[in-house]
Amino acid sequence: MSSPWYERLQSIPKPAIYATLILVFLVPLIRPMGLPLLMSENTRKAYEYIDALPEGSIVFHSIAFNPAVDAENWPQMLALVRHYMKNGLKIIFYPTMQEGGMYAERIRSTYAAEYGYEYGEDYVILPFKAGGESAIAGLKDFWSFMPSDVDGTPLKDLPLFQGFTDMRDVDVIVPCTGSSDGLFYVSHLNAAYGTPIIMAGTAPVLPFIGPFLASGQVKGAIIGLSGAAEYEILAGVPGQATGAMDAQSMGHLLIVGLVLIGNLGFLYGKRVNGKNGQNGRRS
Amino acid sequence: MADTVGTYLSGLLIVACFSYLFKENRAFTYAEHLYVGFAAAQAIVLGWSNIKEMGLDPLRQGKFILVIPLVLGVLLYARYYKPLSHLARFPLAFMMGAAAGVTITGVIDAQLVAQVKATMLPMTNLNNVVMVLGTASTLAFFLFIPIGKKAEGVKAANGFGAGNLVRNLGRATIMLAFGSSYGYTVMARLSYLVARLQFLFGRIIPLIPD
Amino acid sequence: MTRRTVPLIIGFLAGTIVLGKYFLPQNAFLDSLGTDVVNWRTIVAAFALGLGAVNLLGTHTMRIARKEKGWDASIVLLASLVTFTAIGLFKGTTSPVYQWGFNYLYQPIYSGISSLLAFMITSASYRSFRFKDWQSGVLMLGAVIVMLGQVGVGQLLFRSLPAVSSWIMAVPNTAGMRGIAIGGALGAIALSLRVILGLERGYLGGGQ
Repeated sequence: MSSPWYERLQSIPKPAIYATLILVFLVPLIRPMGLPLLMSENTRKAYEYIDALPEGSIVFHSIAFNPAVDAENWPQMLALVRHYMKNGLKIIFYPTMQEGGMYAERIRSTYAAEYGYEYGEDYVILPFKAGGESAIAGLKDFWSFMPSDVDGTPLKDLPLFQGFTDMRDVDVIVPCTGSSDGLFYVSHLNAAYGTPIIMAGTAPVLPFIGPFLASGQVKGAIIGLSGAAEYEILAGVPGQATGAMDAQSMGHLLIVGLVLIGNLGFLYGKRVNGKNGQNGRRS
Repeated sequence: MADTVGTYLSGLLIVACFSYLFKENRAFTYAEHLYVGFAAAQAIVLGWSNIKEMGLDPLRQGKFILVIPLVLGVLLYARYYKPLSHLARFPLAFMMGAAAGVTITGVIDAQLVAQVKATMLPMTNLNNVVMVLGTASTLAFFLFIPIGKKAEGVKAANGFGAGNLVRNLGRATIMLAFGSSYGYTVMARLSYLVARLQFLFGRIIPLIPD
Repeated sequence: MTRRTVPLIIGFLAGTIVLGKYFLPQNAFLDSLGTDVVNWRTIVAAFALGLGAVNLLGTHTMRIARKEKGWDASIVLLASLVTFTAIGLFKGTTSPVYQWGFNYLYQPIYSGISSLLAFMITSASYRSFRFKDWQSGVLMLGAVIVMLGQVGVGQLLFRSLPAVSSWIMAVPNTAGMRGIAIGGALGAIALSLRVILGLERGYLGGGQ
């Protein structure tokens, strides 16, 4: 005898869910639906802050992400870097994750040329340093902690660092991060020097930085793929995030639909069977 | 040429990863091991460059004090030689002690004082009331309200008293915060798949328009 | 003595020096020593990066030697480890060949494996989000509003959903997370003090 409908609603097989998910993503990717793109206050604040920086200001862009989360962080980083370059800002890249340096190298090998950016003069890549929080706290004594760039060239020989005394000369710090590690910059550099922080983080980072946004310790935030898409539009730079937002929308709709279907079966089952309603763990 | 080969190879590797959804298989296992090998290589290479740049090079220039961290670093490997394995505790203790100091100096201003200060809001509008009560009740829930079996005793003693009110308010705030965190986690996880599909059906099989 | 007391003294000194630099910044000696300790920690942490590789080398070499299950995959791991270590050390991580390995081998596998989480989280959300009591209801409500409120389709369904979602993030979420942040800060300070004072010794492992 087949199980009642309210139990079947709670036990859709995994392969069916997986196949639907792929389909729900592919259709809007292949045929874009033109769904509205929202503009969050956090992204707008981040954009306005960076856009208002005068030409030649120094941006300290920290790269604290790896390929696991680069689907969100890389489009954010690309949109930000194109915006810096469009506005003539000087960039210091600092990887605090092992893989971070590779993303900075992509900028050097491919994207810097788009705006005629010269290595050493307009941007510099610092080497990765081990130690997590210590590798950020160490920046407070900049010259003893960071004597040379990723190629081993002494920083004092690079034009960008002529006249650079310490981290107080940085106009904004932008940690691009897949975890709440970006908050170490708030703890050590914002707290010590008041250097403004703009956070670019994966979506789960937002709840953690919420209190710091509210207190003004973080000036603005670009969050998740949607944040990257919003930034691409605000800054008027090309990127792949905007094209992905329809698929993202449909994915969210699918999950909410599945949660509602599961609960419909659960609540009806609870009514019929009393307390022992099927809890949906069967598959 | 190398990039074209690389692009198709990437596509194959992503498909190998997806094949895990059906069942664990050779293609997935090889890809997984290739990745772990690269990750370990990366750790060695970057670790060595840090040791060289911050330790060995300045040591050669006469900064002999750097013998201390270099020896401590080497002692980490004493764990592989049983008679001396206890020496590996020295660098471990050094790292833990220094990290503890760095943590305290980091959280006092930014996470404790600044956040407490930011919560001292005038209770003149609903948002401020929610913010102050929500923060205070969450903190109280974690620090002062007994949970589990202990809570049952307190509940019986207090009935529907102030303790329960704070407990439930704290719980509601935490649940709402965790729920929204979960929503954002879903958002992140889905975008990982969107990006891989954009690559597979944009670069390998060109179905997605530019 | 050397097994337990010396490590505790080392930990105490390292932590106290860093704290001394913070609380007594005008003391030039402490300031310089504190800078050294933080820099030294990076050097020691850099040595620690190799520990995983040594473990992997040992485990997988044994697996190949004994032809245990999965020994063929161990060959792939060791080949990858040795090849990219050699390239990284002799040609550098900025060399085209190392970057090719990162862009076309490491990045697709790492990101491919993490993208499997999309399938897992979809299935997990469907199976585990159940309206069992008011607390799970609040949790679910928060998740659903945020999920729909962050994307365009949510605005099409309910016009005010993005505003509600933003309010949840800006006010109740911030309140909850702020409580957790303050509690976490207190906990971090307490734990760190225990480490510095040698009351927390779990990281030293067992034995004398």
